Amino acid sequence: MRDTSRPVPFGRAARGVFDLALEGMVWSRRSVLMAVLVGLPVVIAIIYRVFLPAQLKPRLTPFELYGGLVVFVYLRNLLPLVALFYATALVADEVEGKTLTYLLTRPIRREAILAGKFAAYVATTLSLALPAVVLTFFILLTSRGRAGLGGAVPDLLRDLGVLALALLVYGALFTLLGVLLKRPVIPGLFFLFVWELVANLPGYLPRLTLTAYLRSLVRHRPAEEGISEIFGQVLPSALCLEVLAAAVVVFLAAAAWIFSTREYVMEQ
Amino acid sequence: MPIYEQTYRRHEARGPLRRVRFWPITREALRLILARRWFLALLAAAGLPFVVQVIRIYVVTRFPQANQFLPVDGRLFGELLAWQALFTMFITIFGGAGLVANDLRTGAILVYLSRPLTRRDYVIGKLGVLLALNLAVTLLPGLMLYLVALSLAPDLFWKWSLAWIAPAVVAQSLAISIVMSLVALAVSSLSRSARVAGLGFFGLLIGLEVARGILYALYRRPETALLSLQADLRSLGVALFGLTERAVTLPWAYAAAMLVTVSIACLLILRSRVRAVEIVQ
Repeated sequence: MRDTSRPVPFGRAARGVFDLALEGMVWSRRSVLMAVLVGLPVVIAIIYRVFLPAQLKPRLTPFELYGGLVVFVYLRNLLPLVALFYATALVADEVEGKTLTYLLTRPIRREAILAGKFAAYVATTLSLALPAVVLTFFILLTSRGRAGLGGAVPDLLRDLGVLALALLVYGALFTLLGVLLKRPVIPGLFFLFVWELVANLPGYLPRLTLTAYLRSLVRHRPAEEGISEIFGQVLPSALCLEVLAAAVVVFLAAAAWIFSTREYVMEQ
Repeated sequence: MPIYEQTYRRHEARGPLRRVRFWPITREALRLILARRWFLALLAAAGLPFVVQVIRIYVVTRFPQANQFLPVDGRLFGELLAWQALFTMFITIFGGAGLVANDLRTGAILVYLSRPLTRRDYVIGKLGVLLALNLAVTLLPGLMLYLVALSLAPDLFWKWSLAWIAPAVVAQSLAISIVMSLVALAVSSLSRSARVAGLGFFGLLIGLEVARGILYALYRRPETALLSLQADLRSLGVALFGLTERAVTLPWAYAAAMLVTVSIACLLILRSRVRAVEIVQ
């Protein structure tokens, strides 16, 4: 018999919440929407490979296009949006559906609830994004035969690591916004599409963004245009990893602390 | 009266109390949105490009040689509206994402449509909210900037050759506001969550723009602009204000045709989603 005067152990509680949250996240219409969004580069790769070369001569090689898709599409636009979509909903969905009460009245620690939900977010987004990147890579890089494919695979593995790190760090930030604010979407969009542009400025300012660190970790950077061509900085990889890891820990710790101390009043 | 004469009777209720039936919907939604401090902050932030352009005109009137590197002509208004179009995205999400989605979630749409209101009244009422907000950040600053330009630099702007500016500002503002509002309402009607609808609207615009950017980088074809609503709106701006944008060289008629098609598609979505019945599966 379990000692009912004590909460369920952290690991078991987090696992239970993870199972519950994963089921709700993976098999939902929202995930179909996100799969469509994340699959957009795959469609572009198919267009590049199948339909257009006969009529139009592309200006980029398959590897250049792949690099552009990873840096500009996945890292800069799609994955942050996916993170915003899922991570702000971790608690907001329960509040909106007025089901948070049922979770909070269980004999489990609040940190375990957040940990389980965040783990479900990571599993869902990784299983959506990484296969799409691998598919894009192979569709593009096999379009002119298999020569040079083996040499590019280490780049693919590194890209997968960077994209997973992007989902982690943006997810942690938006989880924090989700527990901190009642309406986190607009501040999140402002952060992504206004503040993150600071990464293109000179001096130390790019170090105040997340995208500058993530972009620096990608080895094959496509040529940029405009202001980012002049000021685009490449930060040392070790520094990037340290800062991003610290950001994940700080954001998640802050989110867990706020979630465990905050009183939620359901709107009638 | 014999029983066989008892057939369905015509509706005999009194006529509607007012001719403009959509107005209470618009008014109440606007009242709720404008009560939010964050929204007011967003509206204030949307005024920044206007202030920057006024300063630009002022600098040129004080130092005429600045006109060489800060040209002050009709293009100024096109640049202002290009900035304002970005703000309309945020304002549309803030104000419009939940307009239909929340009514679908709470069942309020059944209450609306059980009143002497038609679906058209409902849609026009909700559309009025977004049009008012979007025109407040496009048409209003655009026309105000024109008035400021006329008063600060009459020698530069008080000419027949520049009389097209005001109609161009009106046309571009209406295009931006109508398209953004209709797309946001259509997306909102496809979801029961304001958050999902807001992110869906943003994802749609960003996704299409990213696809356009990649295909343009690949093939340098102007037709790629047809893919993106933002690029179509910029094509109109290029034609109306004589802006130069390398990536957008699509003839304005194609862009306008695409925007009209998208608007009609949004109206069809609204027609199918806004209904006074709820199908429970």
